[in-house]
Amino acid sequence: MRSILHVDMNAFFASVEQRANPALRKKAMAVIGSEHRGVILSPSYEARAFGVKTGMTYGEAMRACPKLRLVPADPAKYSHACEELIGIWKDFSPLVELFSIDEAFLDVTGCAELLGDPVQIAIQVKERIWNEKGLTCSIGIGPNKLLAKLGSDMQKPDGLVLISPEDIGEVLEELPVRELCGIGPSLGNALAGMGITTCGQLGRTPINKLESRFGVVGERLRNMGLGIDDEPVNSLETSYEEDACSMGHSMTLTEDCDKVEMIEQHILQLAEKVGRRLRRGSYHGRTVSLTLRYSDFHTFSRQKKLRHAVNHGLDIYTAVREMLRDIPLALPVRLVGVSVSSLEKNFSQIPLFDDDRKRRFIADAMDEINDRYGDFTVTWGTLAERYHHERVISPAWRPGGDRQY
Amino acid sequence: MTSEQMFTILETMATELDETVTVAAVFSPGTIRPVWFTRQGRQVRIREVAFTWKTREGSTPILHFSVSDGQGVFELRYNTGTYAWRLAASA
Repeated sequence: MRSILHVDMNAFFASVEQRANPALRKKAMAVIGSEHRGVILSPSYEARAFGVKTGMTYGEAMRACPKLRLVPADPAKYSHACEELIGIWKDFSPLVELFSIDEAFLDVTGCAELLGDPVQIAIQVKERIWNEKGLTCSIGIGPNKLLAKLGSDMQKPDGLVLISPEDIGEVLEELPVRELCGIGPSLGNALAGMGITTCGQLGRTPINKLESRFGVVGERLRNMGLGIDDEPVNSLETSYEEDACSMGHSMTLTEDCDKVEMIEQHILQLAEKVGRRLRRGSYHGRTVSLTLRYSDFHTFSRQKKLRHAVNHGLDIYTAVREMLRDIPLALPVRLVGVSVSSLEKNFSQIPLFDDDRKRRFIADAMDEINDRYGDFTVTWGTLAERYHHERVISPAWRPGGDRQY
Repeated sequence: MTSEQMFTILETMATELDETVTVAAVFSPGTIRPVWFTRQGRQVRIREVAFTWKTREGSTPILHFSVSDGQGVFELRYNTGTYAWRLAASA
């Protein structure tokens, strides 16, 4: 029987800001995406008491809590705090899987002799985090990742919930399926359409019925309803070795924009960032994508398959610009995203022509300078005046990974 | 809420600065603890090092210290390449 801990840091970004600024402690405050636009990323528990929620616009949040204090996100603080938390978690288990910047699974199976039973280990983890970082977390303990995650969601903040094998049936019988990690609104609605709203019902549904509706996922869904999950805890070291499927960046513009030339500048900046990440990871990609979000939040993407795999910002920019010029903009644009997929690792094509060789040497030289002195120290003249680092932390961020928020 | 109101709300949180400051700090293995710094001819004694974090400027690690003198909160930055301290923000 496995023993898995799921550690979920409580209101992580807001709690870090409250640690960093004593004047914010015990106050209704929230971390926001950017100083000008965006949404509430992380409200403190004091703000949540007023009804402030993640995803609210500033206006909605201020109406819910007029004294709310807003703090722009500082990803460097959160990523550093996460790295320190990983250091703590690794003292308890060699198998630590970072689920997101503020959540991790620890496989503590076999640690009992050294550290005590799973509950004792969880208490020690909470104490270390509080004593060393001044932060609280909720921990769920279960025989697998699904139930450990469910446990940590059941008691917040500062919770500790053990779901032991003999309790599984009782815990899951009346639990709404949407409480399970992996069942989102659309899957939840599809299940509801079949008359399945609780985990108990899901677990009793014949596999063939689920498979005929959801395909191969059917068996997995039924297992979820029964609290069965064989997914291993993938250690950080293993996940670093996994090859990326795509790399991309997006930015919310400071103002809605309907000028194609301005949008092209943003695309050049994003293409440069994507190109640098691709080169850092020794990737080339054959498919480039452009994502646009209009001012009414309607979001859509276009993609294009290239004849040759690319990792140079200018190649990415040229392909994306062509796609942009084919789109008649219906509304001003709020967000722009550029990504490259169909990636190939260590793809190598020796440049045959002088121009290509020179371009590669220039890119290598720029990378070397920017590695040493910081991103965009040397860049295109068109970006020199307007480069602005969007302070957004990516879900793909991993400590030591190629993604630097 | 207008963008002007928003700006006011945010401005009250922190003022970005970039001032060279003299800092007295205790360097011990694995840690640096700033003790006081001078600002505008006045010595500011640090009562609490509330939070520390690290960033990079290119290949140079920059150490950030969020410190409090009991009245205000300041962000000190230490450049490990140039050994220079800067006062980066106050709130």
